[in-house]
Parts: sequence; structure tokens; C-alpha cells
Amino acid sequence: MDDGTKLKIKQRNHQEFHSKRMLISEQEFLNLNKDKEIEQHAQLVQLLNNQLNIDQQTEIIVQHEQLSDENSRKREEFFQELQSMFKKYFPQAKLSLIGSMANRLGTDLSDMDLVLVLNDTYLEPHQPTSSSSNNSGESMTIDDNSCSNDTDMIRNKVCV
Amino acid sequence: MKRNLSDESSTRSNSPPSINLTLSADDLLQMSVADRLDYIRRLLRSSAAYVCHVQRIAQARCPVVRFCHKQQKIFCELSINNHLAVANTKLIQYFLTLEPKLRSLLYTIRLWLKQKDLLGRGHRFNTYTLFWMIVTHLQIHNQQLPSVRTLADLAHEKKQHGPWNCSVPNLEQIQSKLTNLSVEQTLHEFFSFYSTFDVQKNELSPWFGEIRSKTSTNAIVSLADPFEHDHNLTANISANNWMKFQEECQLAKQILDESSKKASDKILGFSIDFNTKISTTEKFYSSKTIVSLYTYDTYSRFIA
Repeated sequence: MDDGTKLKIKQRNHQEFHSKRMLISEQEFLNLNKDKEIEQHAQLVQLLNNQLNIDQQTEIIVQHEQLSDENSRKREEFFQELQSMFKKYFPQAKLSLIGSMANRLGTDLSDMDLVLVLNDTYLEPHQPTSSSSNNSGESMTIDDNSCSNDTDMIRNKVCV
Repeated sequence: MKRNLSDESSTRSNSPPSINLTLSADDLLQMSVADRLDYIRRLLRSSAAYVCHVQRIAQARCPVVRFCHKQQKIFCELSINNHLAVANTKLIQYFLTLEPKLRSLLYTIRLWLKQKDLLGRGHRFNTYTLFWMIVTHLQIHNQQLPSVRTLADLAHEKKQHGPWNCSVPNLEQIQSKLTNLSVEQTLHEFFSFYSTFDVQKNELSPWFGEIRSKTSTNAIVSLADPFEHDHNLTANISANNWMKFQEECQLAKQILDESSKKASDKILGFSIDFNTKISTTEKFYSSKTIVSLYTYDTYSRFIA
């Protein structure tokens, strides 16, 4: 019985050590990101203070916030990959980029919104049966959204 | 069975590698929303190795399949035959070409909203909503931008999607760009307009380019979609957030007022406002005193 307890302690130690390591690296990662953000924010403030007027300041904000060239290129590549994949299955279809990405209004954090246009058929806007609060007791159309926040977000969003 | 299909984790382990991927576009459109998205989801899983976290969001106004690029962490949302969104994108492009300063206005006000914790999911504003708030304000204020209806009439190529006229002129139809707009002045007018806008009596319509008497009673704020007139873009905005937004507009307007009186302060006026932060307990800090990274923590929450 003593042996068993010892064994248990050993196991737990091992697990703790493991999770601690994970935690540290995650924390390091967060700190790295935070440092980067603080640095970027400081840069922005510095830049804003150096401008002569508000119109110039807003130009700086655009330059600072807009999608970086590298990220634009990555997204463009991703779009091309998806486009050729859909072309294989629906030769007549067209994949359209919509929203902030399409109109160069995005930031590095923006989603890429796409529409697969199969033909001219108009689909009625979907009336969600459940409201964001409590009304989700539908029987026939069980749909396990893994994230209810997503539903909230998209419900009122056509694009961008 | 149906539950299994809609449960992401179980589908991933159970779904056979070979699925029937021979449906035509018409077949797909005959399906229910959920089945259609499921098909696209399975297609992505089986044919796009570079994609992960594929999930369908069927219970939304705009049903989508959401997925992510494995390495690049680019999140995508794909909808099907969403013609209105395509037309909307063209319309936004038209406005941006007509008035390039809309871009500066959008980025600037969006950053300001983000710092006030008024941008993002839930009961807050998003980029799309904000764009139409800016445009509608300019349509109303001295008609600095045309109404969407005017543009639809102007368009050579007419587009109709369901009950909605979604005609947008081609960019070649723009004869002269509007470039006399001062961003500073427009920002001032924007803050001034929205700080006093009466949401109980009025609603905004980019289609008509005017303030109209409020017809809907359930939503706090009513801003109609430019094409889909019966869809309120701001239905999700909570009363608290609208109040906070109006207060912040008022503060921003004051800062711009004061800075314009003293020419020397004008330079700093806006950056000071950008550093105004609200603590998590919604207590206001004086906007004049904080220029440094003092409340950076609050700011970083919205980036993350």
C-alpha cells in the first residue's frame, strides 16, 4: 500500500511537471505577444504625435492597422487554393471574396469571408429558429453549433 | 445519425474518407440549409488538406461553413449563393472609389470603437455596421454622398435578387471623385451627429440616404441594410452600448472642438482621444491626462 502511494505521487509529480512546462511556454508566448503589442501601440502613439494635423494622423492609422503585405499574399494564396478546389467539383461556380478583405478594409485579424456562387438562385435569408438568449428548444433541426458566440456574431452580419 | 453529423468531433472520427462528391449545383440547392453546409463541410475535409476546424453554422441569419487554414491561421466563412453579400461588396467598392477618404474614416473610427470596447461580437458594432453608419451620415449631412437608391437608378446593368434591387453602377461610371472632404471635419460631424441622434424616434436608411421615422419597435438602434431594407444591421446593439457610444461621441466631439480652438493643440487632439481608456469597471478616466501606455491592458484585451 505504501508502494502504491509512492507510485501515485511519482505520477502526479510527473504530470505537474509536464503541465507546468506547457504553462510556462504559453505564458512566454503571451508575454512575447504582449510586448509586441505594447511596442506597436507605442509606435502608433509616437507616429500620431509626429503628424501635423488630424487628416495626416488618420492616414497613419490606416497604414498601421491595415493588412500587412505578407498577410495579404498568404490570404491571396489561400483563396486561390480554395478556388481551384471548388472548381473541381462545381465547374460553373465562382468563388467570390466579400467583406472587408475584398475591399481592402481588413486588419491582420480579419476573417476571410467567401461566397460560393453556384448560380443565380436567390436563397431566402435564413430565419434562425432560436434567438441568442434562451429559445433553442427546436426539435427537428438539431444543430450543434460548437460556439454560440459565432452565431451571435454572424446573425447580424451580411458581410465585412 | 443527424446529431452525429452535426457534432464536429464525432464526425471527424466517424466520417468515411470517401463520400459521394458528385452532386451538381442544383442538387445542392435543393437540400436543406444544414445538409447543404454539411456537404460543403465534408468536401473541405476530404479535399482540402490545408484546412482545419471545419464547422457549420446553420442557425444563423447567414448560414456559413467556418474553417481555418492549418498553418496560417486564417479564419474563413463561406456562404452559398449569397448574392446580396456580393452586391454589397460591389456597392462598398463603389463608395470607396467615389470617396477614398471613407477608408481613413473607417479605420480611424473603428480603432476608436475598439479602444472603447464597442467593437466586436455580441452587442457591439462591427466593421460592416460602422461603414454604413459613416456613409449614411454623409448622405444625410449636406448630401455629401448619393443614396443607394440614386446609384441603383444610375446603374446601366440592373440586378434583382429576390425582392431587392441590388443594382450598382460600374466603377467606370464615376466621373469625378469627391476629394474635397476633410477627414477632421467629417469626424467632427460624425461624432456630433451620432451623439445627438434620437434612436427612439428615428431610423437610418442608406437606401434612401435619409433619416426616417422609426417603424420597428424591438431594436434600440435601427440602421437598415442598404439592399435588404427589412434587415436591421444594428439589431444586436444593446441599450447600454448605444448609450456608451453616444457619450463617447460627445467626448470625442468636445476634444475636437477644443483642439480646433487652439491651433497648437490640434496636432495632439486626436491622439489624446485615442489614449482615453475606460477601466473594466466602466469608470471614466480624464481624456486629457492620459497620453502614455497607462491603460494599455484595457487596450490589449480588444486586440487579443
